Amino acid sequence: MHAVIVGCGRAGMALAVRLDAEGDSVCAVDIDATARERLPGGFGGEFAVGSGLRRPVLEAAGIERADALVALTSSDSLNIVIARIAREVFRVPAVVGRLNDVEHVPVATELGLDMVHSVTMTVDRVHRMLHHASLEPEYTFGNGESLLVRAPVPDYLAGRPAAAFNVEGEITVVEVTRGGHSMIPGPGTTLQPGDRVSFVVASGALGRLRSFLGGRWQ
Amino acid sequence: MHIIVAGGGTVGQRVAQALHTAGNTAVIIEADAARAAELTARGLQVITGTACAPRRLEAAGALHADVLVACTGVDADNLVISVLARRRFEIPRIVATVRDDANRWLFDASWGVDAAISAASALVTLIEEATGSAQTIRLADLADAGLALVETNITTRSAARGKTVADLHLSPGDAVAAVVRGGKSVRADQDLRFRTGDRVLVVTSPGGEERVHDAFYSREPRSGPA
Repeated sequence: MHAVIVGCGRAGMALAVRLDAEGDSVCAVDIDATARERLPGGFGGEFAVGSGLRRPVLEAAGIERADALVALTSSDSLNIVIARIAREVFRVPAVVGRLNDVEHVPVATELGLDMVHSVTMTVDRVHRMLHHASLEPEYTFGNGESLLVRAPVPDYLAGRPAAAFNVEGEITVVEVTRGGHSMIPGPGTTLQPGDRVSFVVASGALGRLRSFLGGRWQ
Repeated sequence: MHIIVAGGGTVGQRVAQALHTAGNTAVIIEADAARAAELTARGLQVITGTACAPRRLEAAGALHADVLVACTGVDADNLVISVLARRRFEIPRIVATVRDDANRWLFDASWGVDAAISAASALVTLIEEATGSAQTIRLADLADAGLALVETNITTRSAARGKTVADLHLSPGDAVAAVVRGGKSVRADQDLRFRTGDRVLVVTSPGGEERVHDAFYSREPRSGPA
């Protein structure tokens, strides 16, 4: 895979280093030539200097053969514009960008761009660590709006149907592990002591799920 | 007409002032709070915050706006604002300034831009104006909106010198929008008398520059400068 990373700050550099270490071809782009010096000595990828809005700069970075482009500059607007150019002008198959300001989210949505919302993700994560430490997610979907969470079944729920956890739009039981074997629960599946259950839960419903697991039905 | 001016820098301020004086509604969206306060103090309608957010464009009247001028100093912002204005609000006419000419290739219909103006040319205009080297300058061409802004300087060669606004008998549709005298804006009433050094902002129709220039200059014999 050839990846073009526009914006070689902390995140851009870390991503470039990781992809390079994993054997991908990488070109990091930054408007500041001194960004190159911050890349570690062992970095085997390329570096291009210039604005990510300029066609010659993007072409020098190999955008025409790129499998992925990641826009990680410090400007949300710039990331949106670069991501859209990559997708619509250069037809790069995988395009991801970063947004810091939630005010830019509607534009990215309007244009159908896949963006990571750094502040939203940080706040959600910290909030979870503060309030739902016992429910550390196995996986987060999108920008953390939905989570995959696993938890042991509390004793008081043994004998109840797995579907008793389901709350439309908030919580869905997707899997039950019993005695080392995993199964997808059907309408007739009842929970047993010692089961571990996987839930997909909306981030706003984590408190409710915790109440269920803690023995307080609401 | 209702016009949204995204970016309250020098260009945005002038465009808004001229359009406002000509009887339009002009709302500026300015991200910098101090600058926004300054513009408000000058009697302009200002909303503070980034124009890249749909809710702010909506607050500025994007749902019924006739024209949007994206003239922040940041090209990527101007593109984002233009594409939002077109796709989300379907504003009929969108004009954007380009700061870096290398980015001009992006300013097209795919970003919702109907007309792109080089910010450098706007800057040149200001420089010419500051040095008094040009007499009548097209400040902004809002051709798609059926408007053009022209600036003319009153010099010793101007026929308009010593005359009032009413004396000029400007063509219908042309209007003196603002007069800057000694660095301050003075009311362009019909009985205002032009003096050497005045900078006059005139709203006209596209291509009206020459007509305006003639109204201010042509009745003077074209001899050398005094």
